[in-house]
Amino acid sequence: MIKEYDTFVDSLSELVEGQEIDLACRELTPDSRKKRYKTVYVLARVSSSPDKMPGADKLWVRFSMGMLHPKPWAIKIIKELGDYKHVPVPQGKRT
Amino acid sequence: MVFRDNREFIDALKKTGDVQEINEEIDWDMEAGAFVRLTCEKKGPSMLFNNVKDYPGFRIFGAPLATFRRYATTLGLPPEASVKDIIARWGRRRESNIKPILVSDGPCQENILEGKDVDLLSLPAPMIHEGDGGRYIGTWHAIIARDPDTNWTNWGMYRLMIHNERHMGGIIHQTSDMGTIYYQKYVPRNKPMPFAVAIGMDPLCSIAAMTHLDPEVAEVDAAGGLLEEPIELVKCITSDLLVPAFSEIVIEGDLLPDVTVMEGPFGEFTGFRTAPRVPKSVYRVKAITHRNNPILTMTNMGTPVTEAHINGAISGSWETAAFLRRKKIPVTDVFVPTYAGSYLTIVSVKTPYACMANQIADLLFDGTLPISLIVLNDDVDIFDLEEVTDALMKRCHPVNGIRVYPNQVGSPLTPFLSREERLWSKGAKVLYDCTWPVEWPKETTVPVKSSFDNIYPGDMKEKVLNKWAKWGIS
Repeated sequence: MIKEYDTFVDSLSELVEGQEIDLACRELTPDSRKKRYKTVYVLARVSSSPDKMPGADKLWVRFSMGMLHPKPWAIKIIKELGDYKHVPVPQGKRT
Repeated sequence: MVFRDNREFIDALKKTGDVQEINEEIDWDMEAGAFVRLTCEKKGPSMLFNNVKDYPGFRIFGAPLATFRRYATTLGLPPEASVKDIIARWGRRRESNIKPILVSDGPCQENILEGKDVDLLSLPAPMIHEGDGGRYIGTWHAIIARDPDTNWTNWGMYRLMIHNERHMGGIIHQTSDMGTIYYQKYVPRNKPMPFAVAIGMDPLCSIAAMTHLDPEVAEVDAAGGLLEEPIELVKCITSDLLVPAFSEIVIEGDLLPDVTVMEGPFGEFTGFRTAPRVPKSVYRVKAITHRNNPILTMTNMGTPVTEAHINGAISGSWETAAFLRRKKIPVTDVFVPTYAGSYLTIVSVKTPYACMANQIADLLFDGTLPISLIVLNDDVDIFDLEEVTDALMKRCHPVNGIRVYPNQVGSPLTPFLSREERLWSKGAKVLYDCTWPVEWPKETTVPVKSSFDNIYPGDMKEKVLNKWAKWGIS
């Protein structure tokens, strides 16, 4: 069964096609509905053209203010990488 | 009337008609949030969802204090009490703090989940708005943390988003009380900071956690003063932090010093979803405890009116006036208007010396809020916003009376800031000085207010008022 995920980006250019990338995405169709929106940190391949990745799961893309990109992407998860994706931030910028 | 817990408060709201109980199944995924948002915008009742999809045995209580009626009830006033009366009652209760008492156990620990049983997703955390960064479990709660050097314990309300079963994240501004403990004591020492999140406390404890108090005042002591009884606290399972014994749900763990994970966005009290999705600190959960049939409390921050707006108007008004009086400013009154969401503070004063408005601004512009300050002579009723608008337009000189304060500490939640300003928490503030300059001679320069009350002699006013009443003019 095709699963659905979503991820947040500032720009679609962050989703690099044609290579393995690490990203944090949210499970939208977990086995238990209680787990919906849980964030998973994964190594994956993504494509803006789902036709080019038959059998892949669906990846919805949201921009950083929450707006949904209208066309879903495709995602093939290679493996989970851990509990979360640590993103360093300068001390003066921490909130 | 004392509500020792959230449930007694809900029972009181049932009697006053200020809660809508819903027994039909409600989805935690946006539906509960949508109901709560709608009731806030309609100034409607709080919502008790007794049947939450996927979560049998749990309940959600939304919009607990989003009207002045419900706020009045928490302070033992009739729901119809005026804003001024509620502020006055707040002030009387705040005159004395009452220290808490430690009890050996409490309903908040009727159920204990530790180790592999810890699972934040076993709680009905709502997806509050479409497009939010995650499910927000912390929107009406207290995060309890202690300064490792002074043992001062802070209660604060900082939003919490679930990442996964054992991790949460949220904004901790560096100028906030918890922020000063975390960033100045724990982060430099690379030490995790123990925390406890108390959800579903009695309403006055939640209000105390939300209110900006002077640093030397412990929120739990202020809560005891508001309740007029000591708060009963119980020791956490995994640390020696103390939490209200009658909390519905308690989450215990450590705030990690050196991990930042993307959090947000989230619709906030400013009425917008503004803060960029950026890396924020991570709470690692070690235990969850809760009452039987627990009630998760939630607010839905957004356009007015929400708990943030109501609390700002009541506690913000009184606390600001008290602070200025402690600084010997001859304040007549202070009002934090509801719809401005603590962005605006209005102060009325007697003005015995020049530049008093600047002095007030210097005192109040010490954090992220307020952003705008209006200072007026005390012949203006600052609770009447039509009068305030009139005074602002007529008494504030566009060149001499408006002072802009650039390069101030800002908040990433502030809508008018650029993206870059939000990322660096840079902001600005503005003072509207509407006071008549003290160097203006009264006889020749200070305008004479052309109002019935001011421009007629006493005997003429009395004569006209008597005839007005005699003739039955409404």
